[in-house]
Amino acid sequence: MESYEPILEMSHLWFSFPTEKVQILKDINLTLRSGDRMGVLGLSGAGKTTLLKIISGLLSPSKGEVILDGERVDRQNMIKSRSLSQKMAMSFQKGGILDSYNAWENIDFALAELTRLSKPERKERSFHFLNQVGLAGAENKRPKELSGGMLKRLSLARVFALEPAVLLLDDPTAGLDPVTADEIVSIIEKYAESRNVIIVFSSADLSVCFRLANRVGFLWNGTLKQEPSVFDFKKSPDPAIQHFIRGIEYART
Amino acid sequence: MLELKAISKTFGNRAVLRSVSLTLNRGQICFVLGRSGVGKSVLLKTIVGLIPQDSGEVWIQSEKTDPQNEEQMVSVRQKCGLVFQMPALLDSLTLQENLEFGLKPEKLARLGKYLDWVQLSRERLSRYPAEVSFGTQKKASVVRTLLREPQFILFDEPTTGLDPVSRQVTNQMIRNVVKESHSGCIVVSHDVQSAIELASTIILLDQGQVIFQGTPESFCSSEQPLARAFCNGMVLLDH
Amino acid sequence: MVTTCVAGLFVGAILAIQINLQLKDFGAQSFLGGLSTSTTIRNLGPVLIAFLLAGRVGAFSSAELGTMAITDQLNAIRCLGLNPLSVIIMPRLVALTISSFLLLVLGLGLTVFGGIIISSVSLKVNPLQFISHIPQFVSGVSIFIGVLKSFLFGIIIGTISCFVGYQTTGGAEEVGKAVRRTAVVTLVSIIVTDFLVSFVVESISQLLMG
Repeated sequence: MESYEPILEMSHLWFSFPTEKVQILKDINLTLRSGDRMGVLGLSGAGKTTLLKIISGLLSPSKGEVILDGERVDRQNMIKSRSLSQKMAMSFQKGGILDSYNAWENIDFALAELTRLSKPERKERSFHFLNQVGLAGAENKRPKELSGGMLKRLSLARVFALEPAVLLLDDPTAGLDPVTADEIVSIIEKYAESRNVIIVFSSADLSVCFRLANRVGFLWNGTLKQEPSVFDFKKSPDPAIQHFIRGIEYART
Repeated sequence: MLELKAISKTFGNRAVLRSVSLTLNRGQICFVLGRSGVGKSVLLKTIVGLIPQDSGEVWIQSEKTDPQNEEQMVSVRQKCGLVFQMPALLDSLTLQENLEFGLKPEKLARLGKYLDWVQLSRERLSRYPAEVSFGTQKKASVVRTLLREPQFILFDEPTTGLDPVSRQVTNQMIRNVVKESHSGCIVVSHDVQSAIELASTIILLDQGQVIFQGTPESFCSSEQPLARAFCNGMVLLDH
Repeated sequence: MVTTCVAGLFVGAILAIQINLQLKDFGAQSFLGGLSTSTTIRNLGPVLIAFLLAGRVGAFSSAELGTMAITDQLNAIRCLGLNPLSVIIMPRLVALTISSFLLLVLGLGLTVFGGIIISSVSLKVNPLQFISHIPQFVSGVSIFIGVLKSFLFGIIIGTISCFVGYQTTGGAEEVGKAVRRTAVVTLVSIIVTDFLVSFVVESISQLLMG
């Protein structure tokens, strides 16, 4: 287990919605290895969420493929191959927390679905990860009683508990105030430190992205402009990236 | 002048606002910052009487508002427009119909000007809210408020969740609106950067109380721990 | 519209079959047209069709208004210095009441056809005979009662769905609850109103006859 290091490869990914002519993603190639924390930036509507959904297998690309440890990621394979679906976990912008369960049950049901753990083991793991995200004491609370920031923590605890090889986070700090956002970033960093995990996250917030990521990509007109590090990204000569960082509108071609 | 005097509001046993006071002149922009769930939106809803305060007074142009008096509130709301965080346009009407909804026809004369201020193109107006982007909806909802020619405009989290470019566009829009219409603005937000760029005054709320009030410059150099935490979250560009 | 038509036809047919069963025992099948039409128009027709409309129109409008309430659309209207009661709710209430009323009357008309069709096709009662007995049993009063009930039910469906929807607060879950509340309150009100109208009308006619 210690030596296991996931490799996630995307080759020649194209995507468009069947009813629309616009190519949302054009020929995206990306290889990620254990320890990579890839931040995907872009204007709203640039296709950040779409890219994450394709990586997770929720959407199928029009062309190209996503390969995780040699296995092709698509809808069928995700259903067939238990190991594949266990390796991938995605946290959605809205959190995807079920109102009818309390905090730890929200984690428990996902574990019951995707692992072979016994009921006491699942409970223990749920409590452990709630503790990790700073929700100790709130295990039996209903989602209604939790604030926006706490719900975000809960949804993180749920994906953490699945211990995936690839962790996909769709705008993990959306709508949070800077102090709460900072706490969320620290939680994710702490989790990533001790594990062989690939994290891909989208964000509209530069400061969050720069703190969390060690690689940055910028989605622009369907292509992913990449720089090897956050430092290089900030210094990138690409005018689209520079305009974005400075918050100036730049004509799309 | 818009004046809040010691506004307090409690929900159940949770004190959301504790004796909050502020003064705003026309042509000024006041940013109300604070963590999520701190009562910022409640404050705005109190000003226009959507949520009546438990104690304290709201004065708009030397007239005291009375949330119980629905008729007076209608005239208060004409003087003081609130732009919601979600665009809150009527789904069943096109943008144009949304703008015209319940509006005296003569007020429509300035539509073109307002569309320019927010950089919204006329062609978009024949679409339904669901057919245009979030940003466009938001612009339309600002125009809808502008058409009423309010003396004060309250913005609820105008830049939350926007990418840096849309954020700049929104800030430019607020700046334009204040400059051109000479209205006073209260902007509720947790976007420190925008606050520093735009605000005449920054107010920081914590646990329902005003814990900082001052200029953007003094905010950045404040020793107040929460103010520091907010400023630390900013992107520091090395250029 | 289609729902109402289908419902009207079938309600008429069901009642014709039921009443036919009872009349057969007395060998009085020739009265079928009159009796079934009168019962349908005065009583069960409006109630059953109103139930359908409550589910279709009432639930829809309370869900729509509930969504407008929780997404601040109504608050936004207030903040334009308008009163949502007068600019959103009232027009909708009037429109809903009138359209429900018209649909109910249309449905009622179709119940008669439903009766005729089923009678001639499966119960072997000559349509002409069916129709010829209608005037004998169906007086102006019956029609008036049918129309009166339709009108009242229209008001009930419109008013309840609008106000329950309007008063929604909270999240998406509350919209669901508003719809449920609308359904329950509307259905109970329809039955109670039906009883009251029948009761009052019977009392009056007793008085007049006596």
